[in-house]
Amino acid sequence: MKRFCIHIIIFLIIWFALSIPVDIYITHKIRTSQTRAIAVWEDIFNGRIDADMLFLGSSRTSDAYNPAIFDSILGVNSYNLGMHGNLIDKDILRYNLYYKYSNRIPKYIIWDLCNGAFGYSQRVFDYQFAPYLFDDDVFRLLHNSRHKFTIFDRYVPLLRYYRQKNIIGYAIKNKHFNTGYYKGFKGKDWHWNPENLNKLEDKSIPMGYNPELLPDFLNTVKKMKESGSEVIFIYSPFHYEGQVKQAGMDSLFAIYQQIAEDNNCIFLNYNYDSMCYDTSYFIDATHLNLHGANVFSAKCSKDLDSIFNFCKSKKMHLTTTNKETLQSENEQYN
Amino acid sequence: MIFNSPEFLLFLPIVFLLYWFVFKKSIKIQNFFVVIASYFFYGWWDWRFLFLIAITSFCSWASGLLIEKNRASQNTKKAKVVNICNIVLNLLILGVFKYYNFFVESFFDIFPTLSNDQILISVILPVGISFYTFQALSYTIDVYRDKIEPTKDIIAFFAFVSFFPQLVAGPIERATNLLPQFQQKRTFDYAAAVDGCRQMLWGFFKKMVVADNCAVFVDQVWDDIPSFSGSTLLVAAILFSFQIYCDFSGYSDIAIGCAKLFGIKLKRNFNNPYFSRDIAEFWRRWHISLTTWFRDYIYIPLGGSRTTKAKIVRNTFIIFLVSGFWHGANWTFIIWGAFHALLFLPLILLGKNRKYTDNIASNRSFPTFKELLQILLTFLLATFGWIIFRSDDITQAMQFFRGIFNISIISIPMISKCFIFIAIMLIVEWINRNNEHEFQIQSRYRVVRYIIYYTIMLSIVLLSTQQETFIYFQF
Repeated sequence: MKRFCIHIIIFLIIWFALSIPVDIYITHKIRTSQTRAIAVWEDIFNGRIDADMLFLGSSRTSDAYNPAIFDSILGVNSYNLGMHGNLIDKDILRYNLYYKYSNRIPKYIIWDLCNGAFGYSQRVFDYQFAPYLFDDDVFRLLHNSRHKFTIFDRYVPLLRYYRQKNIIGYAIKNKHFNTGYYKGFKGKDWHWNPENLNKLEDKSIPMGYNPELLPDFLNTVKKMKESGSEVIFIYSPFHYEGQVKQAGMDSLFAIYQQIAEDNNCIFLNYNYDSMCYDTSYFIDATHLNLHGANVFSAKCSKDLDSIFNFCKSKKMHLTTTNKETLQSENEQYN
Repeated sequence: MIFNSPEFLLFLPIVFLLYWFVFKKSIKIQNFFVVIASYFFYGWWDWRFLFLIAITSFCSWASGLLIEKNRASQNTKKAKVVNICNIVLNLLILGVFKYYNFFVESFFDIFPTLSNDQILISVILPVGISFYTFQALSYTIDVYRDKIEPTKDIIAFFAFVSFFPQLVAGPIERATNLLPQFQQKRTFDYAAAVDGCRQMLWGFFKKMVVADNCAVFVDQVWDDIPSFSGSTLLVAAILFSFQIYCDFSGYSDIAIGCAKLFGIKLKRNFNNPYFSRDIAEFWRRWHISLTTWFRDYIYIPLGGSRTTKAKIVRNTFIIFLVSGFWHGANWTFIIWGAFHALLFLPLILLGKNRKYTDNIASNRSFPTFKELLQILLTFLLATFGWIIFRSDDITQAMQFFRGIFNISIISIPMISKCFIFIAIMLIVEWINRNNEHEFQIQSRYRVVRYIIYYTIMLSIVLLSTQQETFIYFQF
């Protein structure tokens, strides 16, 4: 009996020792891969982002905001931090890490509040966090009931890569997907796929509104403003056929509008834009394709340019603009 | 709790250490601990259904004693009544939880003018109910047949029914094999424990590397059958054959290996079924514990194969249809059973059903060309059966067959990397086909063995997918 236990312990110690270099190798391969999600994280963790304007949000953000267009129209240096499948808590994490790892504090933060930003969806695309569990903020967020990472994932080698076959395979084979991005953006040159509408229906929309996420969100907005950034909320185009399947959007917009007003921010809602009635701009109901992203980026840049010029002409600062002015601005742009 | 979960990785060593170091002194206490651990294991999924196991266990235990008591007082009629009551009660529980809606829906399919809205109920299928019900039933039937003495030790009996490694997906143990092991002092056997670990490791490999990776491809194809060519559909069907084998035999390997750690020897449940030379041999090697259960408690009492031809046909159909129905409340399972009955009938009618009772190429390294063709044909027939088994309904199964048997069967199929894992699995199992299980590595050199173990472990960690549950949990 004792012999058996000793042999098992020795066996596990050897396994532990062998798995450390394997873990290091896999982590290195993933972190040096050109997969978009990882590449953006690498830019953040290495403090390489030198942006005046940041786009924060979900996959809708990552697909919709083309920094090249914003740069040319607004004369800024922008960067797209949109992240697939996230809720507002991961937006917050991303911004906190951006701040923590000495990236340049941006002048403008464009925060795209998507339909699921305050929802209950969970555990999607978590693989991207596995190489970064060493960071306390990453671990704290991912180590809760909604996510699968445990204390063992952080400290036991290889455990965090358990069931992450695809990402490991791509990294080890150096077979990159979704490469060729520019400042976090790579448009998808795809066409409208009506089948995705059915998938949207299967997801039992509405995605819900979880008020527990609100305090952290408001604190982050406050932190952004205190560090000198101007925050603008946007709801990017969502195709009409998807909108009709999405219950409760008006009440969600009312909440977003209220949040914007309470925090002296502008909320630009493109949900009723003419783009929303044209499938040529979309991959599916929620995501713009490359053409749609370019058109939307140009439109959004011009709208922002007008707002910035308006503020300049009135010698107002966005963060100090009073509520009434903002309301009239919001009405004008909505 | 499932074997491939982090909870089980903690549960197993804790139970193991307590079992051997704390509760070793008394069999009763050790058995009581097995019951507690097993109920904890099961209750982790849903504690509400623990009472079902307890009812099944208690009724079967009490029935055993009552049967014995009545028989002792020469009241065989009453003993028979007790046995039948216990069978009816257990099947009633099984029927309500597993088959109620199926019967109601089937009834209203026949009489569509009647409304079934009020009668259909939402029933959760308790995990493993078919397994532990059959295990408990076998005990009272064996007591009634005087094959085993009834036990007065209720704790040992509860441990026999609920022993956690085989509670939710078998092997379906017989009281004649397992119960005596709970009634005698167990001693730790180093070699058996090491072999158990080895068998568990192989089970995890089969489940998490082979089965789960096959599942990704199979699910993708089955979700959208019209989009794939006939050749790709055939590839998916072949992959499902390996998925279901590796999923279920993987579970059995883990269960048997795990039991060895506790000094308990469970029966073998799979014996390389895909190396079978005909369907009869396949059924002697596939899900052995269920097949032998049906043979002993249904087929032989009906007369088996030592009766008239007409009755042989009847008995064969009954056993396969019941076997199909055991798998689930769906016509696909019943058709699957009928399909196998049709494959089996010619063999049994011609008296060739026991032609191959030995291991293939038992004293050779490779099969002959004829044997290879026989293996491939048997595998192909089993695969066609699995298409019916895997489909949601008969319409989908027919759609799948129509998809395969058209001109696109000669196109180049989508190929999955799973075939690499399958090839590794088949090579290992072929090499060890004459051993007690498929991963009995014989190398004298510890280094070689350890390299193999670590490679398997690494592949489990790095190659496993998001799939979690075992297919047979639903049965």
